[in-house]
Amino acid sequence: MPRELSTADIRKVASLARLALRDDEIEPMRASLGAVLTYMERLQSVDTTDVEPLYNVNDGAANLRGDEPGPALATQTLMSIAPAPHEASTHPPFIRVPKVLDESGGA
Amino acid sequence: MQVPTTVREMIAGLAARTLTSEAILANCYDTIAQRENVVKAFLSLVPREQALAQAREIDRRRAAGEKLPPTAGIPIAIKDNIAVANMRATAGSKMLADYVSPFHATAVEKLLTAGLIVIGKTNTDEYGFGSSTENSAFGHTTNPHDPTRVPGGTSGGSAAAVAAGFVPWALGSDTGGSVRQPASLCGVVGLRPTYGRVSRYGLIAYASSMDTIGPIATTVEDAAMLLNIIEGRDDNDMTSRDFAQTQSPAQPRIAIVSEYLAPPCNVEVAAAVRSAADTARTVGASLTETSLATTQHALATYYIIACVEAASNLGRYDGVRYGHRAKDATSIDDMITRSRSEAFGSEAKRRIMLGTYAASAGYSDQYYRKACEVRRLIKQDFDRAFEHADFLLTPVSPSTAWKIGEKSTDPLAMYLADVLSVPASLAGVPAIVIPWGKDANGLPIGVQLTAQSGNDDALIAFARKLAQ
Repeated sequence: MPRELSTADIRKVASLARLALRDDEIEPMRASLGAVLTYMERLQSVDTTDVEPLYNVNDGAANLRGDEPGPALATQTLMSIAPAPHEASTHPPFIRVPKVLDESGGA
Repeated sequence: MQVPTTVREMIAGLAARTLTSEAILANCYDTIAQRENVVKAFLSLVPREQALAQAREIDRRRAAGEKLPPTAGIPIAIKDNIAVANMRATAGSKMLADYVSPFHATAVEKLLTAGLIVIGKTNTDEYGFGSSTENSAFGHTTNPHDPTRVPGGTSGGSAAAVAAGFVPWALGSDTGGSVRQPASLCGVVGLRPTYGRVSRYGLIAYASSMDTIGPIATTVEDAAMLLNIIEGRDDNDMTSRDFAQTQSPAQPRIAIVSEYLAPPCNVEVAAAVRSAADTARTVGASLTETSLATTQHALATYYIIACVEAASNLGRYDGVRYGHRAKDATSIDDMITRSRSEAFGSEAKRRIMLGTYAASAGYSDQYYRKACEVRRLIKQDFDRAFEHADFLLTPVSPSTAWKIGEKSTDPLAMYLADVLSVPASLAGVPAIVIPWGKDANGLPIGVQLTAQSGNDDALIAFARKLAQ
C-alpha cells in the first residue's frame, strides 16, 4: 500500500505544479489521488529486473531536420494572441507581465 | 439531388457531375439544423453561407474543367485540439476559450490541399482528459443513438458528428483510445495509425509519446482515404515518418486475446468479438487464441506515463504568451498560479497533480520509471503476439455507451473504461475499430483490429474485408 497522502502532501504537489487549490478542492483531490495511486501500486509486483524503460516507441530514433532558418510566424501574428501586448513604436514589441524581480533584487 | 453517405460515393458523384459540393454541404447543414441542438457535437461551426460559398466556388472550377483533387468539396469536421488557422482551438479548456490559432496543423494543411472544406471544430474532454466528452469546459456531447448517453471520448464530438450524419469525415486524436472508443460507442469507424505516421504538429499536446491524429468515418474505405491524405513525414514533428506500403496476407492469421474478453468486458461485447471472429474465418482467416499477460498492467502504466507527460506539457500554460491570464496579479508567480488555477478544470488539475507527484523527487523511480519499464514489457508482449498472428481481434471498450453522469463523479471508474484501448497506445501500434452490431438496448458495439507497427495498410485491407 502506498503511503497515505496528507493534506500537506497535496499542498506541496500543488505548489510544484503551480496550482492554487481552494480549501474545498483539497480533500476531494486527496481522496481521488489516493484511490488512483492505490490502483497503480499493482505495478510494483511486476518483475522489471534488467528491463530498460521505454520512453518512446521510436526508442530514440528521430527525424531531425537541418538546423537552418525557415519560415516562422510573424511577430505581429504572435503579438495578436498575447494577453497583454505592448507595441509602442519606440520599442520592439513585447508582452507585459507583473514584476519579476522583487525589491531586494532577487527573483 | 440525393446526397450519398460515404465519401467514396460522393467522390464518384462529383466526378460524374451528378452531385455538387454545394448539395453535399447543404445536406450537412440541414442535418445539423435538425439535430445539433441535441447532439451538441460542435464547439464552433463555420456559418452555412460561408461554407456553401466555398462549395459553389469548387463546383464552378470543377465545371470549368479545372483539374481539382477528387476530394475537393468534401466537408470535414476537426476536433478542437487540432489547429485550423483563424479558428478557435480550445481543446475543450477554459484556458484556451478565446485562443484563435494563427497556423494550421500539418494534417489540416494537407486536408486543405486536398480541397476539403472544414465546417467546424468538435467537442472534446479538456486537453483529451476523459473518456466521455463530459470533461469539456463547454458542456457535453450526446450519443446520436441515445441522447441520454455519452458518445465516448475524448473525440466524442467528431465521432458523434459522423454518426449523426453531419459530416462524412472527421479528424480526432487518440492518446489512450480517444478515436477508437468514441467510434465504438457511436457506431462508426475510427482509426489510430501507427505512432509517427501522422504529424502531430498543430495537435495540442497531451501525452506526446502516445498522441496520434486519426480519422473517423462511416466506412473503413473512407477512413483509409483520409489517412492517405494526412499521413507522411513532416519536418515539424521529429517522430513523424514515412512508411512502406503493406498488404494483408491472403489468409491472415487472426488471434483473439483471452484477457480482453474476460470481465470487465461485458458479455454482449465479447459475443460481438466472437461473431466477428467467425466472420473472419469465412473470409479466409485462420483463428487462434493468444494471451497478452501484461494487459492487466496496461491501465496503471498508461495513466502514470500519460499524466507525467501531461503535467510537463501543460507547464506551458502560464498566462504569459497566450491563453487565459488572471487579472490584477501582484507578481509573476501569482499570475502564473492563478491563471492556471482559474482556467484548468478539475480533471486537468487531477492529472497535473498525479503527473507532478509521479515524477517528483523520491517517487519518480517508483512510479514513472517503473511504468516505462512495464511499457517495454507490454511492447514486447505485442511483438511476441505478432510473431504468430497478423492481426489481433479484440473489443476496444468493455461496454457500450453509458449514461451521462454515470461515471463522472468517480475518476477511477472513468479511467477503467480505457482498460482495453490503452495497450495499443503504449505499444504505438495501429488499431482500427469497426461497428459490429448492437446490444439489447440498440447501442452500437465496435470491434478492434490491431496490427504490428507500420502495417496500417494491411490492417485496413483486412478490416475492409471483414466489414463487408
